[in-house]
Amino acid sequence: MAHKDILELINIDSGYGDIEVLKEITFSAREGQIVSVLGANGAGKSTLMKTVFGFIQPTRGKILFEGKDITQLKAIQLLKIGISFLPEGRSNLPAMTVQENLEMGAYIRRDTLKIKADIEGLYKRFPILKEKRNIMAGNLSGGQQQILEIAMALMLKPKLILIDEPTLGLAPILVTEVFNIIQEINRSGTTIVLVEQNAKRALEISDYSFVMELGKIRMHGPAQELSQKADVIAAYLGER
Amino acid sequence: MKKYWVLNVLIALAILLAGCAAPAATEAPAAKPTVESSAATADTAPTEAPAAPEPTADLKPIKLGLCLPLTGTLASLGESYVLGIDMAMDEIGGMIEGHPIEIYKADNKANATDAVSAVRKLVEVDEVDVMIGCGSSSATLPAVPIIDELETPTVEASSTNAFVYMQIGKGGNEWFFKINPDDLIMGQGFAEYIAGKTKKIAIVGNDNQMARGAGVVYTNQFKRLGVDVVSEEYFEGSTADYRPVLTKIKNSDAEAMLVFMDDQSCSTFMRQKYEVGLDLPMFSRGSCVSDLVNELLKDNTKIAEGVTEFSFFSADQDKEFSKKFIEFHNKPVTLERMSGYYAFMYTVVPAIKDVIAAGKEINRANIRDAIAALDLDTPAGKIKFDEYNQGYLDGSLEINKDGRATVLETVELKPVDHSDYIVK
Amino acid sequence: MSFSLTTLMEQVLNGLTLGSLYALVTLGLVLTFSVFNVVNFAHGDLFMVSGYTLYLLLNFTQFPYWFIVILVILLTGVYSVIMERLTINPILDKSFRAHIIATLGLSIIIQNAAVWFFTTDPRHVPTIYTSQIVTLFGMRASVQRWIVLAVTVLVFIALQWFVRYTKLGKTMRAVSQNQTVSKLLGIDTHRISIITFAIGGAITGLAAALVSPLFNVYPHMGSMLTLKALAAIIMGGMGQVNGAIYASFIIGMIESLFGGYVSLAYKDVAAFVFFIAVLFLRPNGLFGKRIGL
Repeated sequence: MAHKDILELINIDSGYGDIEVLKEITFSAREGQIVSVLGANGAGKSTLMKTVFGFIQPTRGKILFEGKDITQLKAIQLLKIGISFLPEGRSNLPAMTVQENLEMGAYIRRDTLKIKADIEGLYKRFPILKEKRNIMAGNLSGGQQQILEIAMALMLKPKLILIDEPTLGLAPILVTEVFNIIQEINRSGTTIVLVEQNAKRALEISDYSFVMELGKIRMHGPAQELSQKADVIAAYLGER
Repeated sequence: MKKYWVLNVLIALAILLAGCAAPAATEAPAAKPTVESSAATADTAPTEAPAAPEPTADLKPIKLGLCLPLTGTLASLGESYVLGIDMAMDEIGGMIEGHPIEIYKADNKANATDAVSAVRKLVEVDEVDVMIGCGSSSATLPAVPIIDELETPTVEASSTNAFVYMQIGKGGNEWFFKINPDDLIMGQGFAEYIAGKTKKIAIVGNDNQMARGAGVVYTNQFKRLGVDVVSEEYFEGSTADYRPVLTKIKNSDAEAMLVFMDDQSCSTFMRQKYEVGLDLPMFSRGSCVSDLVNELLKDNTKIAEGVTEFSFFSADQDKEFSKKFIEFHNKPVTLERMSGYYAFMYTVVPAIKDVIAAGKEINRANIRDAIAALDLDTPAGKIKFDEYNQGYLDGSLEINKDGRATVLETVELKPVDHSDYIVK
Repeated sequence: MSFSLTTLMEQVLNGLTLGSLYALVTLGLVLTFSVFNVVNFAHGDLFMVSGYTLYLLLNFTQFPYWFIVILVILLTGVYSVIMERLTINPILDKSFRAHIIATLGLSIIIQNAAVWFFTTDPRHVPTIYTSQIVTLFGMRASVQRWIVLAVTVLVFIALQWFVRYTKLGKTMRAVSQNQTVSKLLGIDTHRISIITFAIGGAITGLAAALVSPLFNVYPHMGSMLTLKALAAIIMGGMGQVNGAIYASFIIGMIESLFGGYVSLAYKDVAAFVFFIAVLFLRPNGLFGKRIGL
């Protein structure tokens, strides 16, 4: 396992218009790890993800990817250098078939033939998608849609995937399945930054974790270490 | 969000629908009438009328108001009036006996509500001395009582709904003068002409006061003359597809058609009549036989071949005007283009000259009295009003042959008793 | 009037040709509407400008009609893109009301500009096909009208194929479903906006080049066309391309049958009563589904 940081945020301030949400965020994710970001609603986790992916411009600070400054890059450029983003909520194309969604996942690729092969590869990995290939994405169950969205992100073979609340609203059994898939993707070499409200489950699969509160990083450390301070984390998460 | 959309679209559709005949409906009515002097306000006069002598600075300007449809389906009617008036203004150098003429326009969109606000705007805001308008029966009918209330002399030269006659002159609006004949005045002779050619007829017209009024006149006349009216249909001005009604007539036992249409509708109507192969003789009381229609149908002269129309102000009646008009505007002559010219040149101008010659003050009452006293012979007939403020221009029976309108007969029109005319 | 089967047959065919005419006008609008949710009230005016372009090219050049049709298609595509850049693009992210105000305003400006340049005189743009009459299936119609019917069907099929199978078509569908997701996938939505308006404009140009020889061209012709097209779009289920096309044919059919059998004066009323009834009974439109382009 490599030991360099694939993603670094240095002193980031960011927000919407005049409302500053993130304050002096310094964050890093090691290559090949699953890094989770924990925090209560409104802690600024989603803003953090959007800032990394260029949907929001930070007002201060720097974002580095593989050591290169990506602070000013737009979504399409980030996709090209290997970063994908799965935002909170549904992010597929509901009125297109599973197959078409996967094709659109590869939108910025030009190698048509290779795309077909990659889709077949994903069908082997996620048989449920193959079974539903001609079904409209909007007609799939929540869990199936989440799997589809992860598969769409994989079409670009990203080095880093940012995932925002992938298990929101899913039944417990599906949560396990989605976490298994995330772990599996990570094992095949993709770094994952995972935003989760469910701290306990997230810590189980993470290598490293950050805890956010009110736009600031309150604590961070290896997941195993943090799991032992469960009560402190619960306090930050607003759980009793 | 989706729900709001439908709501918003409906609101916008309503706006469009409300202004259906008038696409510019969203404009504030008060903003529309503008001072558009064709030749007269001091700063534009030199460029507009170069040949004119300088207006004498101390003479009071005469304000002329034009209440006409300037947008909507009858926009070309209003513009035609303006073209006629433009030419007249050029002829007189933009002034009468040294008094510069200021022209104010207000758009009546050929509907009742806009007609009323247009008249009020011209009289109360622009304070015009005399008006020309309102061009179409649909705008003239509602405008007549308002004009009576506002006491401003007004000259109309194209509305043909017979109900106008019953409201003006003795016992009614003494301020409103109509130089053109209405359908009741023209109806008897033309109905007899048609009855001599056919006994089964289908009537089609625009859905407006002119056509509906003519429908009443002709169905009554045909009843008297034993002509069977097989069908009677009216359509919205925006209609562009007449095939359903043409197909219906084709499969009925009608032997001829009588139509009441504006030139725009009629050219398309005749084109589709030709297309569906409806080969019936066609009579018209409206604007189906004109240079403009022939211009629109010039690619195939067979389309309007043989259409017979009874009207007034035909280009042939005043050849000198027609020649001048084509030279001046490079556009074909139409009834409304003559209407604008005649209302101004043969009615407003001589009346004001009379006022000045008599040494009277140029005001609304004196202009009205002068108009009422006019007695002129024009190439298109007499301008002399009866006690009901109705003038009697000549009627003309025209037929279209080889893409040209030819006058068959000029008819001297006579007063008709309007008392038994019933509006449906 | 006695009922006759041939008359009915003819009226149905009248309805079909009228419907195809509405469909061709609606296509350009529904395309831009479905992708960007912008109701363009100046759409009919684009048609009008395109009609005048046809008029000018037919009168002042010696090109054959088919070549002029191609020119009008290209030029209208360009007009549409200019319209998108100047009016639509700046308000793309604004509220629906902003869209209505901006495009209605544009409509009024274009109409008045047309009055200024061309006067309110109607113009006719005859082609060699407007006076050639052919009888097919018992219906007499000009070759021009048959061309409109055939081209509508062809364009409809081509558009189906285009959105279903080409990458650009799929991309347009993607943008129509979710602009945020589209951006996530790396789609440049502003570029797609331009392309969509170019295609919508080109279809409108085709419509104007083929349809306006059947009628006259005049400055205020656009309002009624916009109205009919919007009615078809709403009736077809907000932004459903297929639904809008079917609805165009339904409107044409209602107008034709009502006009032919009941009253010509109220045929528009009949169409709009049907339209309101559809909204009451099926608020998502006749062909409205929760999803789909």
